[in-house]
Amino acid sequence: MPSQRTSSKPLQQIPTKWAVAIVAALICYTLLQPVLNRQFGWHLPALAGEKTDDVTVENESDNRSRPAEDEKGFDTAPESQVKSQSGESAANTPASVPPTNSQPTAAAAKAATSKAQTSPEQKANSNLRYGILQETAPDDFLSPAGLRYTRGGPEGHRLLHIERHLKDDPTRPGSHGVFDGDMTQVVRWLDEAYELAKRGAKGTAKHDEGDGRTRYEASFSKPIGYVGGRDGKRDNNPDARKVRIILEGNKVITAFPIK
Amino acid sequence: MADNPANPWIHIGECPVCVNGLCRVRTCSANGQRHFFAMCDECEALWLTPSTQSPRTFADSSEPKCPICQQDLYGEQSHWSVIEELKSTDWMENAIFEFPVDIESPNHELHSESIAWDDVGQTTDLNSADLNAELRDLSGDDPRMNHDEPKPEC
Repeated sequence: MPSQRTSSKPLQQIPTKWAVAIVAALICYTLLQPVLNRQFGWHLPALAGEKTDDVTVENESDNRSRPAEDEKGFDTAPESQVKSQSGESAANTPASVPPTNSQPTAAAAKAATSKAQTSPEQKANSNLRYGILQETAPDDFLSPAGLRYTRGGPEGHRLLHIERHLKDDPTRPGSHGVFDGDMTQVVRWLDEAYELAKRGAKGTAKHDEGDGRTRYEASFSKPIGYVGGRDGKRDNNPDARKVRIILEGNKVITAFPIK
Repeated sequence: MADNPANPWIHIGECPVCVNGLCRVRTCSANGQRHFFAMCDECEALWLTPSTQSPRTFADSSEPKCPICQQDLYGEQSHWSVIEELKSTDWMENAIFEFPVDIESPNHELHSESIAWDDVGQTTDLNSADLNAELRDLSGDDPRMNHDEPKPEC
């Protein structure tokens, strides 16, 4: 009994207004702690029941390593391509754009301060266009195989031009190759075809068109689209099992499926 | 980008480079003077004369310029040619005119024929304004005629 009395004494000695102030401060801290951590990158200790935030951070840091792994994949591009890439992009890259190899670091730093709001999956997707294209400079995308998709063409960007091959135009004179699937699938096919054609694998062809332009073709075991346009329609839209890629160096000018 | 409708499609043949695009005629203006060239609407190969057998160049992939006046290839002053602009030029005589119509449309037999200038001139004896009207009539009421997608490789 005496001991009970002793333990309750300190609490009874605290004035009511102080107790209210302490409780209010705890509530404020609880509410502000995650916000302050997120805003300023601080590591204020969480009160009980907030361990989920720490778990999220760990998951995010795990996922943050994904772009770095992807970046390693990009390093497998031939050295000459990497060199020409930095040289060519100079003209169309703002001076403020950080070097390619520093961008993932900057992105990771940015992610560290703005975490917890974006899911890891969203973050990974936002770093890679169509799941595999790394944006090495504004509007300048590099694929794992070393293909570059840059600004250019009447649509303003080569990716937009290729997107036109996701849809048929049966009124177009001549033929118009139409890819099955979406851009995520198409950029993978193009990478695959480019890798095969570079190696001179069976079923591929490479034509030098002069002025740095090259026409690559690669066959696929299954249809990757069909021949559209007016000619394609006249022939009942035959399957397209090949892809043709027109490149300038490693910059994609256009790509489309052919019979 | 001043890619306004230009009906019908005016081109000088299939592109020998990418073997898919059409070498379509473009009009560009500088100092009030028009000039013409052909450009593949798929790979941006360029011809200064109305024959795909003639020497070709390629537009700069990053900063494409008119091969004649060096202005922006897709600038306000440049567009896919219309018939009136080509009148009395070599381009008119050598170009192919095709309408963007669906072969399943009821009038496709009429529309899908490629029309050479000689054919049109001999059979219609029209001035260029009348000719344009005639060609528009040929296109019927297809609403797409007003939306030619000059954007390459539509």
